[in-house]
Amino acid sequence: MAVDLSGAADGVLATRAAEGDERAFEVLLRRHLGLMTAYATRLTRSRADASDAVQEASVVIWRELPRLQTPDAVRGWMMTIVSRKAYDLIRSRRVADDVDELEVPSQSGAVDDPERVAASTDAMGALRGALARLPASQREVWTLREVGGESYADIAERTGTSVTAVRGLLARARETLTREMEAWR
Amino acid sequence: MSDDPTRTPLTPAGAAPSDPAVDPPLDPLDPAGVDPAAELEVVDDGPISMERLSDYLDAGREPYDPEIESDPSALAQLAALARLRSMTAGLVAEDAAAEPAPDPSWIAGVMSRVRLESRTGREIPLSSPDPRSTLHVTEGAVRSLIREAGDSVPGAVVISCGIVGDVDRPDAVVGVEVAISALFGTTVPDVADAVREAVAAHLAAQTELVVEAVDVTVRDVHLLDTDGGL
Amino acid sequence: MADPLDDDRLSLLAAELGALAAACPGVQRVQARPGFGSLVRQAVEGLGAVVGGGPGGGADASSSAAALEGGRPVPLVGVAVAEAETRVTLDIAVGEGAQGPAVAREVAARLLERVAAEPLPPASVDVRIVGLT
Repeated sequence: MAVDLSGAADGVLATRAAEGDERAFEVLLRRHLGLMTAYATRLTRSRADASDAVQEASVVIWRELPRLQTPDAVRGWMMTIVSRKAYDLIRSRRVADDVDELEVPSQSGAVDDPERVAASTDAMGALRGALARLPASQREVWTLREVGGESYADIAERTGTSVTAVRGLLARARETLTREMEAWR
Repeated sequence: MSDDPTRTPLTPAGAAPSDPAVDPPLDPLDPAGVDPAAELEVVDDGPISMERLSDYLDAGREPYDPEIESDPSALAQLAALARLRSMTAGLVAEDAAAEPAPDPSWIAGVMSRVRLESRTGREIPLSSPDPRSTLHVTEGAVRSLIREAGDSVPGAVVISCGIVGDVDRPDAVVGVEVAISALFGTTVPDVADAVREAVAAHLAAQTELVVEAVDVTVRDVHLLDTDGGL
Repeated sequence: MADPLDDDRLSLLAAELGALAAACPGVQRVQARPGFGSLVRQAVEGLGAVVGGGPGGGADASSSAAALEGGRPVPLVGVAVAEAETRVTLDIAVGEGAQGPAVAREVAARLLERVAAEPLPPASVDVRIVGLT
């Protein structure tokens, strides 16, 4: 009877998976799949694309796990790979659609669609509403930082800008969000 | 109000002085006393910018910054940022929890792709009486055996394992290293001994390697958590 | 008799070898050896026909074929026929309770016996255990 890994720490699962334990990998994947999918959905604004991005990311995660130096930090590391794949997907869609700017497209059914925002009247709903009203470029950087936990350097790379630009966008987003949340209070 | 020496203005020098009706004196201990309709004055290139406050909060308010900590507006802004941060964490958790359980076929699809990239490692020869047969066992298979052996010991979970030494002959002399996590409350040396014995026994039964030593390290201790999450 | 180097016949043989291996006690799964095709082309001189080795992935002991290619099952066992030799290559997973090396030897012996019954150049078998739990 195989040992129950469902309670094992992330670091243990990541080390075992890096050494070839497929079962440990599956437990690790399932544990963080919700977070990864929610993240990919925010970035791609499409459930279908998010699912594809997360699947691609999962295979890359398995492949690159042996190179992770800090198994305990595997969750953040997986999120970085998810955003990498999400952006690959966004870019390939962009090329197909011949759009000039990196404008993250909106689709209903995405995490902050108007229905969902309207349905909640609490602070969380207010935050969702405020997020939805942010300019796309600010929301994008906010998502990468606050949901993905990514570094300024990685965010700059994803968005094709500079660390200075990223800091500026993030600061403006935080200004707007704190102002709106305090006003809501 | 702009003459008040205890307040550091957040607006750059030369700009219009702050309007006392909009910026009432703040009690740093009760930033919630701020009029919620009031605009929190923060300018990017002011002495205490949003960026600087964000970084300060990110750093856990260390090292202590007296300029920020003595400025009621800055403290109010910090408090607002902290509230935003905690709300954001809640939003992220809510989104993650709201994701539907994955389709079994989706997971199966990922795992079948994963299996195509199995980590076989080195090929360890097995003796063969017939020269027409070439037999091997992969290092990956042996490692999974070691993991299973260690896991089979009550109170032990294998974290990492490896075979040390050349494996170019069936009766190669090797060392085995195993790192485990032991259940809190168990007698750690006993668990380590049991793991050593189980690993040696499994390897003797399933391979032809001559195992010189099995090194067991207890790298971690875990609590049994029935809710999931050690 | 059909030409022993006929690809179709070889594929049938490969499929049969896979079933034989899967039927051995202790064999949990038969798998294609990744890279079989290119490996054997590099290693074997005077290569005639090469079949099987699948696109990868395994199958339970109940079936010896992996994916379908053009509607036909691709055998998991790789069979390469050259002027002077026939090479049979496969990966297996050994189930719990079975003894790995003994199972590998048994699989090799059965496959050798089966291939010997075919009008093919002298055969060798390469068995690799990829799973032991």
